[in-house]
Amino acid sequence: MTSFRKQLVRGLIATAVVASTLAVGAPVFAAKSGDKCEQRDAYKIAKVGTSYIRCEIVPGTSLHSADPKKKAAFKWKTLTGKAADAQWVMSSAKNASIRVDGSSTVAPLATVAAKYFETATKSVNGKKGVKVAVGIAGTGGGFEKFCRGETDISNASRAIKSSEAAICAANGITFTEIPIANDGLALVVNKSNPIDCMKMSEVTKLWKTSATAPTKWSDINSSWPSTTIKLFGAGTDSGTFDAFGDLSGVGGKANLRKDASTSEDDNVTVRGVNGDAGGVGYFGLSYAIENADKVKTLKLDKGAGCVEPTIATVQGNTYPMSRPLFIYPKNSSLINNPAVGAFVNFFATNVKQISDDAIFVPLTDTQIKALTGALARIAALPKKKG
Amino acid sequence: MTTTELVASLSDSTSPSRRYKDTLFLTVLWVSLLLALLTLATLVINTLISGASSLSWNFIAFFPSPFPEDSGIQSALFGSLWVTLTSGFVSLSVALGTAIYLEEFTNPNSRLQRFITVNIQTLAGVPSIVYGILGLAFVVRGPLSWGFTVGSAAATLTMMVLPLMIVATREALKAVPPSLREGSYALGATRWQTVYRQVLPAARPGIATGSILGVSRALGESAPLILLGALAYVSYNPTGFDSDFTVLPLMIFKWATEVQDEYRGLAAAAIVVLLLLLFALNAVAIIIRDRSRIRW
Amino acid sequence: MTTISSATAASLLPTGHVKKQRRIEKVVVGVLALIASSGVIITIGIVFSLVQPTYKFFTERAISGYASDETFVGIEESGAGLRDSSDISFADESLIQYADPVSLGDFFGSTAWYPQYENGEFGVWPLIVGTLLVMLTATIVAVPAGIGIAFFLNQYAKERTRRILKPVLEVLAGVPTVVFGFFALVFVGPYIAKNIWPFSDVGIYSGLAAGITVGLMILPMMATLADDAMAAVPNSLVEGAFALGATRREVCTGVILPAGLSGIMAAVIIALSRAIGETTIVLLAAGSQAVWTFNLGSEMQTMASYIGFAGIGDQPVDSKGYQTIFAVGLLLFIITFGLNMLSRKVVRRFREVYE
Repeated sequence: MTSFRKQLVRGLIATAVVASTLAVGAPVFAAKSGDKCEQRDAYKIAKVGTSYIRCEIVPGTSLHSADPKKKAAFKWKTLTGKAADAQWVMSSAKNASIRVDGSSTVAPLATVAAKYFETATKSVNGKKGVKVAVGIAGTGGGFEKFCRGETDISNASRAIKSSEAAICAANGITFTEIPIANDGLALVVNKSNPIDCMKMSEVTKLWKTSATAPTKWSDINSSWPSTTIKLFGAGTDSGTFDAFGDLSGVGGKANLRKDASTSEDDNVTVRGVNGDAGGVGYFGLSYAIENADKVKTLKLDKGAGCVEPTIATVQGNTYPMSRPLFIYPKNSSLINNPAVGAFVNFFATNVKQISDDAIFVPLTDTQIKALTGALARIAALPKKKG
Repeated sequence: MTTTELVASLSDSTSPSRRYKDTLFLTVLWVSLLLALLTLATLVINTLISGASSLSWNFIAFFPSPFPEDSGIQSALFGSLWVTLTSGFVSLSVALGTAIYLEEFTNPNSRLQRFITVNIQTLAGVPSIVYGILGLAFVVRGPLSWGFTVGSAAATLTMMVLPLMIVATREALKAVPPSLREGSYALGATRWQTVYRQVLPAARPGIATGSILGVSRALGESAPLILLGALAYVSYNPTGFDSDFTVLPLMIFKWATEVQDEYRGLAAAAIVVLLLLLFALNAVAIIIRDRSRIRW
Repeated sequence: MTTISSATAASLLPTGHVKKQRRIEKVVVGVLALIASSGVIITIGIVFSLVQPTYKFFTERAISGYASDETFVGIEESGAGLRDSSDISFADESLIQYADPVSLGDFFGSTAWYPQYENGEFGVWPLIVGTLLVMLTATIVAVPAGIGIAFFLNQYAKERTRRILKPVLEVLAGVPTVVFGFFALVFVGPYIAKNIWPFSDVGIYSGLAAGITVGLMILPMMATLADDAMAAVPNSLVEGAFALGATRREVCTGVILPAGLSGIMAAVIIALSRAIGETTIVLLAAGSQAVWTFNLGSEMQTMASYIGFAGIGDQPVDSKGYQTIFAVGLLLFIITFGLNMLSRKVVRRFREVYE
């Protein structure tokens, strides 16, 4: 029996050794402004002498550039003025954690922001950086948790509904609405589908519940192939589903066809449309760009010619299915947990780069104004007492 | 086939059709066996091939990231460790108590023991997703409202592995011969003294093997946790029972659903790590079983 | 177990310790009894957590939405003005829309399963048929092969081969279902299911891929249980058959199979109940739409995979969509419970024959 005990002790020691090696992983470095750094260190801050440097992406390069010359490069850069001050707000948020939940469309954006914020706070506070957890409950599910007080920030791919606001109000939860990025709802079909552009009236016909709803592509337009239509949709509790109900012209989500595969996970749609010759689905533009090798994104025509979803057409609202994305921080979290305010500030001040890295359409100038105004409102919230 | 039919067919003992049938039958058996072996081989090889490029020390040491290039599983490993160890410890304690009560303190033919036995067998046959519903209704929401935390996941998995643990510990106690107990009683020990000083030490290897198998079940389980509300992105290790977390099977599930090839590699690499952990646990169980084969 | 001997022993104890030891004994028994009741508590918890929301599902109405909610905020509006909770007008209670309780007739009498839509439909048959189809496929894969492996282990394998094969089966049985799910998604679906189904095109998600993989998952359990059942067949029967000149095949099919049939049947039932309850594999491999179809090549949902699917996108608590988790869960629980009871009955019969 003693040999078992010995084995157990040996096992525990081995585990402890592995665990401590994992914990002491951070390398010591001595870098200066202009030196190269790694992508995983993006937004890391280090002190050099009396000034601070931060690992940033080199302007003009991008994580998603097809041009190898413009492929992402990262360099240390001296932090100056206001930016430096903003970063130091974080140092007051030691060992805090933030719960973010909601739209699965916004999640990739929030995840990138969370990753950068964690890197930044860890470099300021040693291992005790701020912890950000991002969930994908869907916009509706996210607001439900948010209005029960379970989360600090709710991601939404549509504006909050008055019914949801009512529940928040009943529970004494107040919040601030912040537009954080834009998105075009991309309509995607199988690569083998010859269609390139659809009229909005055709989109409506395709998705509207009716006894004569088309079952074959040729039912919509006789020049199209006679392959069977296979619909893939967003999760019924998602903001994407709501927005598509409004933007597709069917007259609200209640009129969307039910014989579609729906999932909160956009990958189901990508895989389905990719594997089915008659498949058609919709999701955020970033997914369409990321999966351009697997599915074909259609141009849409609302009467002024075919428009391809791009940053410019979405920002300019010429692409028919464009929508803003939001985050909703809870006021009580902003007051009681300095980390939440620091995260929102970090997210907002770096939103352009974060949007680019997560392939989202950045805010327009007027939206930036709204965002700045929202930040001012947050700053004016009463401070925590005691 | 009745006996007379059998005898009648046997009388024709040298017919070639019989030999032909024998060979055919053996072939069918080989095919069945190959199906199992090929499944295991394909599964392992397929996973190794897709996971090889992502497997590295960094993969284990890094945290999950929105970018596949620098994604890792450290927080999932620690999450699994927390959840599995907690549920293993709690369920083992409860299972031991139950097993001792049933085996040592109740009459095997009593109605109470039969009732509890049937009840535990029933629980062992309940699909794991139903335990997820129980966790969702009672722990995550409802009366306890712990949210999706280490504590609620551990509680759910504890309830799930408990029946298996009870069955295993009972078998271990049953294997201890009555003579050991009677000898102890003859020396004047009470029941509890007998259980504590004689039966439990003798049953230890059996209990250890059983609980390791229970723990490996908890380590690999995904379905109930999916229902409880899996988080997409947790890039830190659990800090307590009220902490957010992720576990290896959820990480694998998440990556498996992604369409990009990089994520397929990540899923496969995480599977390799999970399987290695499980094989190690199983190997320990087998070693304990073989080493302690005491013949009473 | 040893009631008499321990009572005798206890009466022989030296009197000084007796009182203290008896007290300890009483406390221990009390604590243990309390612990032993945990299984019963869990059972009650399961039944309660399933029945209560299911009852609500069939008898109470639930909030389905608000009439004033259809206001879309576009890109221009989002930049136009600042909003926080004080700027958003609250919904009036008079605008609340309710979903009626679902009748048992709708639940069991319709073939349209769209529970998560605002005007949902709650016919559970697509899930039941999906479950049966996946289960059947799994059975076709696992049962013959499982019995075959058991014959091999029981009659053909040498002791050394057995000693290698048994752990291999154990390892295979211990592979987590999420791993099988990944396997289904990247291998069984695209390389096997797509190529063997003659009746229709097989999409990227199919009941066939899920069923085959579930079958492979339950195969080792099926083989082990069948092997146990065969091992319980009295040796005298087997040796008698050999003495009459039977070949191994004839012993297998003529003696072991009929003699061990009830045990093997019980094994089949347990394996089936595992297949019915399997969630992760089906969730990953069979897609996310409950299609009313008998075509295995199509996408489908089983009861278990629907529950998992409904958990991924959070449903508003107490909505009809949320309550379906429990209603379907209860159905699943009843079916697996019934199967387990059945297997126990079969086993009991089989014990009566040979003991």
